[in-house]
Amino acid sequence: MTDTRRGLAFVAPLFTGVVFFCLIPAAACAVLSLFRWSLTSPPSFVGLENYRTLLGDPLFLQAAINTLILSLVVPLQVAGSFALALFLRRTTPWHRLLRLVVFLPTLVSPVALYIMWRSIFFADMGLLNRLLDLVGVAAPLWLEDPGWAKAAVMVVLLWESIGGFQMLFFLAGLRQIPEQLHDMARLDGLPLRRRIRDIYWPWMRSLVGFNLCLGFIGAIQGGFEIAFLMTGGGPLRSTTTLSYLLYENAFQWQKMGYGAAVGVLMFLMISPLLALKWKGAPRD
Amino acid sequence: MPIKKVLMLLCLLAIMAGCRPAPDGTVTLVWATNSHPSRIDAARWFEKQHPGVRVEIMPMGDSRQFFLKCLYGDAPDVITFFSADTFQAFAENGLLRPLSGPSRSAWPYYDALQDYCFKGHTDELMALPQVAYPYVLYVNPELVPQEKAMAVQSWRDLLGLVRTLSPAVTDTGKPVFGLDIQSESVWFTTWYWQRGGRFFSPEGNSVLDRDIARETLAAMERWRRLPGVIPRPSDRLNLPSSGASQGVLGSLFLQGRALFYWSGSWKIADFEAQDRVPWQVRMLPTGPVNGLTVMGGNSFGVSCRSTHPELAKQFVAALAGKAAQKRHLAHRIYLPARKGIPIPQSLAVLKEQAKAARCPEHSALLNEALVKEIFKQALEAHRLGVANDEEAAEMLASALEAGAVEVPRD
Repeated sequence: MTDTRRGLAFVAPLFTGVVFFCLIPAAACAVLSLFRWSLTSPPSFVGLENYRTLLGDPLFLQAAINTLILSLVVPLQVAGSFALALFLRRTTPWHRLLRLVVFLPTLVSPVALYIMWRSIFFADMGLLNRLLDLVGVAAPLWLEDPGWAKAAVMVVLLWESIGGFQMLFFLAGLRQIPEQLHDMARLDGLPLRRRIRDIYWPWMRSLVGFNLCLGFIGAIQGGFEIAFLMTGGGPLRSTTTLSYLLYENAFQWQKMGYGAAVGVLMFLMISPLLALKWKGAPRD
Repeated sequence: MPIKKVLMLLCLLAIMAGCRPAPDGTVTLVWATNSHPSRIDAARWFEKQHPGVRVEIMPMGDSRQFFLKCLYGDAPDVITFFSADTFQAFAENGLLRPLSGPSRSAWPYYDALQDYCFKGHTDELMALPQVAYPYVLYVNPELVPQEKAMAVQSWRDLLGLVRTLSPAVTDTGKPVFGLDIQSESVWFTTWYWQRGGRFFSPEGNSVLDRDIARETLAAMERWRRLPGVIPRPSDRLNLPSSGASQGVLGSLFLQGRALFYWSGSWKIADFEAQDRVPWQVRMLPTGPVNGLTVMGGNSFGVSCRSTHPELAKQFVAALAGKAAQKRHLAHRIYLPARKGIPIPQSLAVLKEQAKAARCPEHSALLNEALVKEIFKQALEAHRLGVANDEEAAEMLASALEAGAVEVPRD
């Protein structure tokens, strides 16, 4: 068997899965977006009507704006993960333990995390408001006020991802920097700001870009679980994300074509990022 | 050759996996329902009466998802319906077998349950009911003197009484509210009906009366503005999530923090399971025009894909029969759907309430989940002050006409 054939044989199972579970459903979704289908009556072809309605739908606009606002946590996630990686990159037992502690939330089910945060933000008996009461601060109704609900969701999104896989990528990246560079920096007495600019940044630039791209893609595609479990997309739709809107349209309100159109527009929103990711992905 | 041995072993395993135990003559009926002890009890009771039959309970989860699963995949033999809209969706899509039973005119059950059993506006019986859930008013007799609670007939009486008893506090110094309400939507629906309004025509089109809706919203707002009468959602333990259970902890009444609680009769189970807060049940007050209130219920239908349809029909008939309904009372929760079954004297008021109740309105043109969301958004916008009475009524009317959720504009 030639190397090419052997390689193809190894790739085939994964490739088949991608074709059947990603590419074909994605194509079906694009086709479905041209139909009106309630699941209980035969689909009827409506051309681009779903897109026209969608682009004039204030609910879609609000969900898109909410998603973009929530995605603003991504740079903070990346910066925080980088800072944590810098702090935890040493290999002492203490740092190893800390790394594990920081990484733990990534291993916990998001369902449990969001329900826990929901009770922390609860207005009457929540931990946060009790603490604020103790120090004499007037506590907001976090999940009941459209203004504060979004901030509460952003805090949770930041908290759950800051010590996660992005930090691991950075830790791995930091290990690639030759130790001599650090020695030279120490000898020259370079302050942290200069070390970041002259040593870390050149080595980590592509990884930062990669993490930012992945983060934004995840933020635009995601946000379903947190909306479903923590806020119900409210109050007043202030935390409805595109993925939650897609779920509601397709699986709650049985507007399959409309929901599919939301999915296609989400893909169009992330496609420039996909291209960027492709270009900026670390090569070694 | 090792490869041959491996292949033979795999073949052997595949053959063994395909083998089934020899049939023992047992017939299995699959019943989609919730996992309440009363269901398990009913299943075991039927099994005892029918040796050789096993009733397997299948959890249903979200009703909309379950409907789609039955439409496109496998369906159980017997299906429980917890909302009239879900039942109608099954009946309209040909997923149920017609049942033989009483016609509408000879209906031995509470009238409000007809929408849970008869397909559309025809006389075709497709399901039989077991239980009625009228909304009632719970009273804390430690906080409200009984004679005063008994004297309440109208909402004006109730408000007057609440104001004479307020402000009250618990032993721990927490405020006691006048009236906790399980759902804004039930509040709005009841008051709107009691002013003579309707939401949908028999054809399913929206016939929302904007004037009555506005008047209802204005009345709700007047009650909300009175301090200590209506708790805010943040005063309760439940939060606006759609994914997690809203559970019994959400009731202020069970914490001794509400004089009255307006909720469904299924709450009786929670109240009976605790001994902290005393409680009584009263009829809901009547409105300016009539005394119509909301009633829920459940019913059982036989799937058209059932492999044992006759046995499934027997099971449904047994569940809805007098013996099973009497037995169901042992669980001390629900009002039997069939009229004339004796219930404890302390709960006799449930029967009176059921007579004045009707099923929540639904439209074959609009999806149930969408209608719920339309109500939720309009009422939430009104409660949070983003939309005034006029705007919220308009929001509701246009959303019901367009069949789309309206977003309140700042």
